[in-house]
Amino acid sequence: MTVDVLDADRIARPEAPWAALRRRASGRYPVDPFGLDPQLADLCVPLFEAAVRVRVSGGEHVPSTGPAVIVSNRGFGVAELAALGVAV
Amino acid sequence: MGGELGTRVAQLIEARDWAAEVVGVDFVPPRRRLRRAQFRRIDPRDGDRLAEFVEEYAPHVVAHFGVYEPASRMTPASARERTDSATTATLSAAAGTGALEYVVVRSGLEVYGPPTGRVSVPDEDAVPAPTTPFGRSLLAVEAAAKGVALRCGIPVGALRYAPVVGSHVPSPLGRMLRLPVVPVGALSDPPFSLLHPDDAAHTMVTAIERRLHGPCNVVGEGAATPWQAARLGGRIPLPVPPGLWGAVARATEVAGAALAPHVIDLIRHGCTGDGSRARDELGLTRPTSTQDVLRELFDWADVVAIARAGEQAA
Repeated sequence: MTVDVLDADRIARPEAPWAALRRRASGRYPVDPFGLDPQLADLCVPLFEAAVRVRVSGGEHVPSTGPAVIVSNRGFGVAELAALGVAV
Repeated sequence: MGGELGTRVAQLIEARDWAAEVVGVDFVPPRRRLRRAQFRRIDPRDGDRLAEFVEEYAPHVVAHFGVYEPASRMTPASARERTDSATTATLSAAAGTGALEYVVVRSGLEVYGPPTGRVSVPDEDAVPAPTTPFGRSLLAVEAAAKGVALRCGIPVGALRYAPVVGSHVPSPLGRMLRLPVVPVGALSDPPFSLLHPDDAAHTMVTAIERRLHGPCNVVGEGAATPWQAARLGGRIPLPVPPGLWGAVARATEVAGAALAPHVIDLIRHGCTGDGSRARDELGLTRPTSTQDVLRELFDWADVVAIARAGEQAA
């Protein structure tokens, strides 16, 4: 049975940094085949939040678990990726 | 049939009523007890003898596992020679008998090559572009099978397995991950997927039963990264800069875990695939997850000392 479920980790509240780092050191965190690593994202979000201020509207249309397609109306630079990461 | 996977498939097939007779060929004997299946020991390099046996036996179905992974049980040169010879002799002889109804071959995700310039999780429509000898060898096996399909007008399936590892499966990737210090990429930590040997064997049998036609990715659920895999096993990850992989390969060979190019490719660029077709057409709905495959790889049974009668009394 899988101990670390990707979706559960994706919607769970971020752990305390020390607990997250300990789990990271043991290798017990989920990764998907595209390389998404929700635990690493949780660890990095505070850094991006300090750099990028984001206002979200219509967030209720994005499901908390399962697949979703987010379509951009412009090409991605550096800031757009950071903003999207913080918003989602 | 002499490999771990071939033996498991033979065990599953001999339990099926539809299989009137099961015969396997390899240069090493099966790993487990087989009740009904027969085994013929022929070295794949002896192509004439192998072809003669296949012609004489005239099989209705061929499950071709004669794909030898470099640095798994033999040197890369020997693996390539055996794979080429086994494929040519078996498939051409079987096609010539007129009795052949179906062929399924073992292939791998290595046929897609590194994900540079293509989608990172390829499905069966992605154009194969292997960059390693093992990937090219697998693609050649698929091409030979396609030739049989055209010649005989029969369905031919190719199962593109994610790397199959397990505590009893000889594999260069498994051996490397069990080293005390595991080399990982210094600049990237890309995801890779693994496949449990039981899932690999079951999909092979289902492919025969359902007459799967064309390529099909067979992949365990989820993924892991090299760094994570090392830590799951309690190993020490050693970051390796891009120019030093040759030296690392020589060092690990001395340590008893030779690194084949396709394993270095996996560590540096990742190796995943879209397993939707296997889920829909082969019923692989709940494959063992990659991280569970890794846990099983590291899960060695403890050695338990059995006390002699006298010692026990004392």
